[in-house]
Amino acid sequence: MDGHLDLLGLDAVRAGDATPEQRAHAESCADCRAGVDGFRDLAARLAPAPLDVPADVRRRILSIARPRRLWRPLLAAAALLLIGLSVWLASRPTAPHRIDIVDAYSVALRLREGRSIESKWDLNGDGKVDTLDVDEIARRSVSIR
Amino acid sequence: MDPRPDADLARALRDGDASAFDALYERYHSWVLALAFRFTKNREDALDVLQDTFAYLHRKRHDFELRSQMKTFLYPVVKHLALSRATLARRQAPLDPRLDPAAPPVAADNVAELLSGLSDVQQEVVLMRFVDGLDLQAIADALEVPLGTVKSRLHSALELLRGKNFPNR
Amino acid sequence: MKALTLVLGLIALVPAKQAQFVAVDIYANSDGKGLAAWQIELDCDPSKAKIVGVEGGEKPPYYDPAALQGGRIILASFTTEPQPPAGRVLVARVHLQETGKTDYAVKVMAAAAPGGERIEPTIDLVRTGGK
Repeated sequence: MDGHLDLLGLDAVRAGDATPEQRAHAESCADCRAGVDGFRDLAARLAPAPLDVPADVRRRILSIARPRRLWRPLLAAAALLLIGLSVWLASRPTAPHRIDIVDAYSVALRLREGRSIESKWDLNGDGKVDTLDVDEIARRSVSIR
Repeated sequence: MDPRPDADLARALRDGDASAFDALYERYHSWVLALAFRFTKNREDALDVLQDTFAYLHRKRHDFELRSQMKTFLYPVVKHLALSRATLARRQAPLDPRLDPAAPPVAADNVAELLSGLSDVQQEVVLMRFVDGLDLQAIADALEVPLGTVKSRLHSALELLRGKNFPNR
Repeated sequence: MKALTLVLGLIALVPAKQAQFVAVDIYANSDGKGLAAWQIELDCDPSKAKIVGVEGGEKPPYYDPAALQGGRIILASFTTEPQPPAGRVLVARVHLQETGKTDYAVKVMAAAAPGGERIEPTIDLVRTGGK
């Protein structure tokens, strides 16, 4: 490039994470400034049109962090349910210790085919077995620790 | 606008502060929705993914510790939720065969034209850099590939784009 | 699962302290069954070679980023396509920086044919680049 910024350097100037040396060069070099301007133009053309979030969706999402208060009797019933659930959870068979990629594949296959999957594969504890759990199984399979 | 940085909001969320959840929503909902739409190509599904993403964030709040940028954490979550939705939709009804759940997102309309000629992985890196505003390390972390791989993909993509879209040097 | 261990003596004639970049292509051969899932461990002497990158055959495999800059890595991938490739298939390419003579050992940790039947493919390595 004979003293000019390379493509990643030009993009770094555009993105604002260039080094001081890269910025200084771009300020003093017309060719590189043109390259940076070209990337800025590309970024503008790639920018998506904004999408609105309907008010009810926004309300529903923000209510996630604000569960409604329960009446005392309902609270007591919920507490009993939780105790029962804890006992059941503790008695569940845990995920196998030596999981490998074939386990990830088997779960992914069952997901793709819409078949039932044992809850022990809910490795991320979000209450359902999905592709996030498949990824977690695969990640644990290749861990070198 | 809540002035707390993301790491402080994550800690506050872990401690049960509902206003921290609100602040994270206000700060990132537009980006999450746009990203979800990039994958789903459907507004209703994108709104569902938006809701699922923040529900996931709230569920994980107790063991959530922000070690990188929030977008680095959210990107794979949104991607998986959106692609799972595409997989489910594909099973229920025949859809556009380009909606491959294993593939990175396909850019839509004019964006597709701008990025035509780039491979799927090149398109994904360009969109993460130029639209999502992620730095190269954040992209590497979000995609779980080495930094060198991101640099290589971006460099080759920019070479192709330079030839297509703006004056040669 | 009976582990298949293949030690491939790949001698890199590299002058001491001079690094070179090489790639090790890993091929798996499941004969006629089709390779739906595979998990492989690659080992080398970390004082002679460091793993610096990974590429996929069909798509990038899973691996632990902590393995980079070390001498041991576990790679894995799967596909739910009903008819994955059979026969000898390039499953991954591992990029390494060699600073001395080194051997590479690879073993299959797990593999499956479509449907989930566990199989034992044979594997071979092809080293490219460097001297």
